Amino acid sequence: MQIVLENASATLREPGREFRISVDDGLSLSAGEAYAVTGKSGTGKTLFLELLGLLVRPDPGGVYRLAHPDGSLEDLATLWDGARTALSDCRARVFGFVLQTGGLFPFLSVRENVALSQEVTGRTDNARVSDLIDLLELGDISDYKPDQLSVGQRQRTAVARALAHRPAFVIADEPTSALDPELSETVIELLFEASREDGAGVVISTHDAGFTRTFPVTQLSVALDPAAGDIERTTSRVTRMAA
Amino acid sequence: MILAARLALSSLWHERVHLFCNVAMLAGALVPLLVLFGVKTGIYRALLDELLSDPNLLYVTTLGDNEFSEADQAEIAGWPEAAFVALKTRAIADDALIQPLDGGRVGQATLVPSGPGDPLLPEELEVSERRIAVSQRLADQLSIGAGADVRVIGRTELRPPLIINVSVVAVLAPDSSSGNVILMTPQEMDLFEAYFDGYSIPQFGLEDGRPIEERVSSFEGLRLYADGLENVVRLENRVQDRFGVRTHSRAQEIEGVLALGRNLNLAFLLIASTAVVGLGAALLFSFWAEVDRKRRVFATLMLVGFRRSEIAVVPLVQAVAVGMAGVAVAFVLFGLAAIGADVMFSDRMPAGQGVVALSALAAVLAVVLPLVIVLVASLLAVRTVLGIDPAITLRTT
Repeated sequence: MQIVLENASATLREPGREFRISVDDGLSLSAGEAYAVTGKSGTGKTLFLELLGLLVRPDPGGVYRLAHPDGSLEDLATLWDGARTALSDCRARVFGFVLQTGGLFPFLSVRENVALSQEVTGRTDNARVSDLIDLLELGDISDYKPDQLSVGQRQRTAVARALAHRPAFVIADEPTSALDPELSETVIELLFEASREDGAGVVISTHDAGFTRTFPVTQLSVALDPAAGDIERTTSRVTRMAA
Repeated sequence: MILAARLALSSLWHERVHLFCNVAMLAGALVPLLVLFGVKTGIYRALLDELLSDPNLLYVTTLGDNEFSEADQAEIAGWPEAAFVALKTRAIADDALIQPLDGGRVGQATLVPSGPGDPLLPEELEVSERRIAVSQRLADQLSIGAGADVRVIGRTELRPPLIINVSVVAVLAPDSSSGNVILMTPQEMDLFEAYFDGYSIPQFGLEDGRPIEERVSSFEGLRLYADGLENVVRLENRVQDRFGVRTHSRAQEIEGVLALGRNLNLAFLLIASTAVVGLGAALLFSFWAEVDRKRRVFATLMLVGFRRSEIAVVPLVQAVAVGMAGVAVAFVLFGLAAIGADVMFSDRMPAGQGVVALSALAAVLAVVLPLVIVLVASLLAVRTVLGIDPAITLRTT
């Protein structure tokens, strides 16, 4: 499965400010591959991930498609038209998300949090939940609630939840920003390992460029375009870096 | 939807302090209202029951010398305000003697017209031709009971007595009549009037006097019973308007009690309305604050793949759960308050009556209305949930 973006952009509008992220050249992201979205703070990494994860509406005129293994194309940009039911369903089916601070549900245990993405998508598989819990070393704390977990344990739980329903892509927005370097590496390793086993693509944003040297990832650079913008209107461009 | 409802309940229980606060808020408003309403109903009902224990409370009678026909009786019987109507003969013909057929004491009694549906009689019994009912006092005087055979005698010095042999079908309840009373059909009472007017009554051996065929029956008055307390005044007014006659009833006494009931209801409604508005506002902001506080949770649910319509169920389910728990707690506390009130004040109430009373309908309303209130109060929370943009929320919270 591939995500195909052509001339795609998304705009964040705030009072007195307009921020646009643009993918001018064709960009395709494949399931099974790992991508690191790098760039300084404030360049629009999160907005790019939101565009990918169907959280913000693409600007008109661009292409955002999903190319299925059988060759069929699914136009994801049109999901924003009309009722949002298809959008929610597609988001649940195609993506798994890891947020900066885990984004776990405080009223559910670790196991319940992990199983939730399966329940939402109707892909209930208790054995997989157990496997992920084992893989991410959460077995001893699987009945704990998030407020009983360390930050690292929460992030590992979030990784397990993002993968539990076997999404084609996992989108992780600076998932290790709250962790110390050693723990960061462990969580990233576990995320990549679990994704590789499933053949899921991983798109991970980071402001730490060194990260790309440690892990075998394709780098997508997000940078402000000095030629296009002023204080009120800023544009960032996403560029695939050469391997 | 079921998954969202399950999560809503899990979340509610996880933060049960908030649940308890909302339940306490709801019960805190409901319990005083329930107790107030229960006491109002209990005491007012006791007052009404005391009034209604007198079967003649609903009695309306015409005054003066009037002329009514059987057609008038039939017309009034069709009025919704009337529960019973019987034609009365002239007062001069109301007095009669009564004696058991097997001898014994002779009693003096007043004849009262009766018929099917007479409120003074037990439901399944009625007087008819040759079948009468007597008051308790008269039955005691004559040492007779239901089933006794008696003779009812009209007597004047001018002619031989009119004697009609009849059976006693019922003895009236003691509080139905304090005097010596015979309930009889108006047609038989009319024979007594004809007797006193000097007409012949050959079927009872009185051949002398004017030929009975020349007599036209006319009735001086009406014995009426209203269909319920509220209808006493209406019936009285309608009779006055229709026939231009004077009437008498205990309408003033009834109106006093009914006015008390209306005023108590009004006072309760004012208090309840104020409480409902206050409770609704408190719940509205409480539910909204809950949702606002948990924006990130709702946004993450959307991220995981929940539809907006499913997530909107969350505050609704939580509101209903709060409502049901609040109502349950309120009823438990109300029950305890009712027991306490009964223990303290039951000696001042009629036997078998509680100080606090709640009808089935009122109980159902006490369950349904709070649930409606919490549902309405949760709509702002629902609207807030529907307006959550997951991207903005996750970015800013």
